[in-house]
Order: sequence, then structure tokens, then C-alpha cells
Amino acid sequence: MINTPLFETKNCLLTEIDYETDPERDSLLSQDLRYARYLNRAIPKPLSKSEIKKIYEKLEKSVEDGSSTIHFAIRERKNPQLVGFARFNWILWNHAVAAITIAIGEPSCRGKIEAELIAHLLNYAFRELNLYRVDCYISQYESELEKALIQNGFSCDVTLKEADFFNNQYWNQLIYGITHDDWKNGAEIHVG
Amino acid sequence: MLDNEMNLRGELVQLVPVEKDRDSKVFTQWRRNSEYSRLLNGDPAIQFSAKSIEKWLEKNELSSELVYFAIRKLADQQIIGEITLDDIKPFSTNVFVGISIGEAPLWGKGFGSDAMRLILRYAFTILNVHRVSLTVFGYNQRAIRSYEKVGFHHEGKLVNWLNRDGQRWDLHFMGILKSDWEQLIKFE
Repeated sequence: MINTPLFETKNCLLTEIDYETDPERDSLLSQDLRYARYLNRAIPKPLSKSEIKKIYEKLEKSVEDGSSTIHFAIRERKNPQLVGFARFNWILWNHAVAAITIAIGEPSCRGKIEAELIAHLLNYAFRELNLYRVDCYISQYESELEKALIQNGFSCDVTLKEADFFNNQYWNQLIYGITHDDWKNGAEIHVG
Repeated sequence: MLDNEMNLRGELVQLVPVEKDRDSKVFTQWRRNSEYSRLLNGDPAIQFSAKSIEKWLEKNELSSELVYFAIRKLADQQIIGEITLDDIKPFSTNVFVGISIGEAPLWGKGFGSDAMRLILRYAFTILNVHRVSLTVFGYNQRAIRSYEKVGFHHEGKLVNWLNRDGQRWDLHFMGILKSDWEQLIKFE
């Protein structure tokens, strides 16, 4: 039997989008511009429920059209309201590579759940999607995320100097990556 | 003072609008060369009809996220390649450039470098971006040398990112800041 849970970690659930409750919650979370930047890269701003719905619809259409994106709404197990999202972007099946995005909007969760989510996403990437390599593009100011990536065996492979502008300053964009072999030979973490 | 005429003309080439009627067939012909197709991107090398390329070009006309030029040789007005700036957003800090010379006999003769200098000038002085980035496959050493010549710096690589022709290859990232480019052109 295969009984490793793919969609739950020790503290979180990886679920589908809930069109009933998530737009209002994401609208509230988008008041934090750090999180809003993940929802709408073009113009980071607090978003209305209707704008959030449009983002979801566009996202789900891209999932249907191209199968190069996999999206999970992230909820806490103890209180299953939305706290952020995790996503596989740019999955190139012919090269078995993808990039992950982890965006946590709930302030009380930030810095606390990223490590277990990344461990779980790697398990999903290498044991379900059969990927060879996973990358994660982050801004230099995302220190909680950076710490969680390093904890999971990622190494910083690329530094795009001053590629991001946020809060009145330029930040390096960092690309962290891990291959299946690196993960297997040491970084593999048993998911809860 | 502004020059009397501002255009995208270099020493060897000029960047001109892509004309879907004129160029779609040419672009199709270039893609029959699998060596060329495998330099373009990570997608599987496949053939596109002129009609499908024309449709794609039409979809991107007046796009505010993509700048797409044809590269025209000054000597005889031949269309020899394509060049793009991608990921343009309002308040873009960083854009990605992609370039290809479709006419294989013209590879390594300086046309790409000339086109790249023009697009950098355009990106920094007209679009006012802070930096320009690119990615290039590890097996495209000729392109890497050309990008170094124009002023791009190596910023790292994703090891074994690409699986092609029975082996894995690195994806290199290169970039140039506006401030570096300004220093560079002072000495040109």
C-alpha cells in the first residue's frame, strides 16, 4: 500500500482553492504588501475579493491549459482558514525541472511553517512528480524563507544583483536549487 | 539635447518591428534547423506552421509585457534574427532579453552583439529598467562569449537543469545593471 500523505504536514493542509471563503481571506491578507507581491507581481497592492477571484480563475485556467502549474491553498490544521499558498511553476516535464513558490500571508505563521512545507513539497516533487531538480526564486529580504530552504538542503546557485525593488530599495534575487540526488543523499527529511 | 533622429540602428543591424505577414514564413524556415531550435528555449524542438507563428505574433502585437523586434541586416535589409525583452511590467526593475540569429551562415559574425548593444540602450534609456538579465544554455558557448563582450556578468548557474541529447546541461544566468552599462558606454 502507498499511504504517505501527500496533502498534509504536521501543522498544515495543502488543499484546493475554496471559492466560498478564500477570496475574502486572501483580500484581507493582501493588505500586507509583502504577500500582495506574490498575488499580483505587476502592481503589488491590496486586492478586492473580485480581483482575487479573477486571479484564481486565471490560475486555474493556466493549470487546465498547460499542466505546467500546480497550486495548493495552504491552511492550518488547527484552524483551516487560508494562510497562504504553495505552487509549482514552470514545470518543464521534458527536463523534469520546476520552480516552487511559497507565500505565507498570515503573520502568525510566517517563519514557522515554511520549513515543513518545503520538506513536503520536495517529497511531492521527487516522489510524485518524479522531478530531477527543484528551484526557488526569492528576494533577499525573504530571510525566513531562505532559512527554511537552507534547512531543507537547498543551495544558492544564482544571485541576480539588484533584480527586485521593494520598500524603497533594490534587493538581490536569489535562486536556490536542489537536485533529486542531493535530496536523496542527505537532505531528505521525513514529512510529518 | 536629443538627437534629431532616434532609432535602433547599430553598425551592422537595425531593430525593426516584426511584420507578421513578412516574417512568419522566415521564422518557420529557421526552425527547420534543429540546432537553431535547440538554442531558443527549453521546449522540445518542434515545427510551427507559418500560420501558427502569425497567430502568435498577432496575439502579442501591442503587448505591454513583451517587446519583440526583428533584426535587419543594414547591408542588404535581410531579416536575420529576432530579439525580445520579456517580463516587462509597470515599474519593471528587471527584464529578460532573448536573442537569436536565424540565418546560420551569419552566426559568429558580430550581428548578435550589435543587436544586443541596441536593445540594452533601448532598455536602459527608453524603458528605464534597472537591469537586464538573460539565461543561456551551457552548450551555447558562442553566445556566452558574445554576451560577455557586450558587458553581461555571470551571476550563477542552475547545474544540470536541462536534459537534452542524452545528457544534462547547466542553465547560466547573466545580467547587467544600468550603472555598469553607463560606465561601459563612456569608454566606447
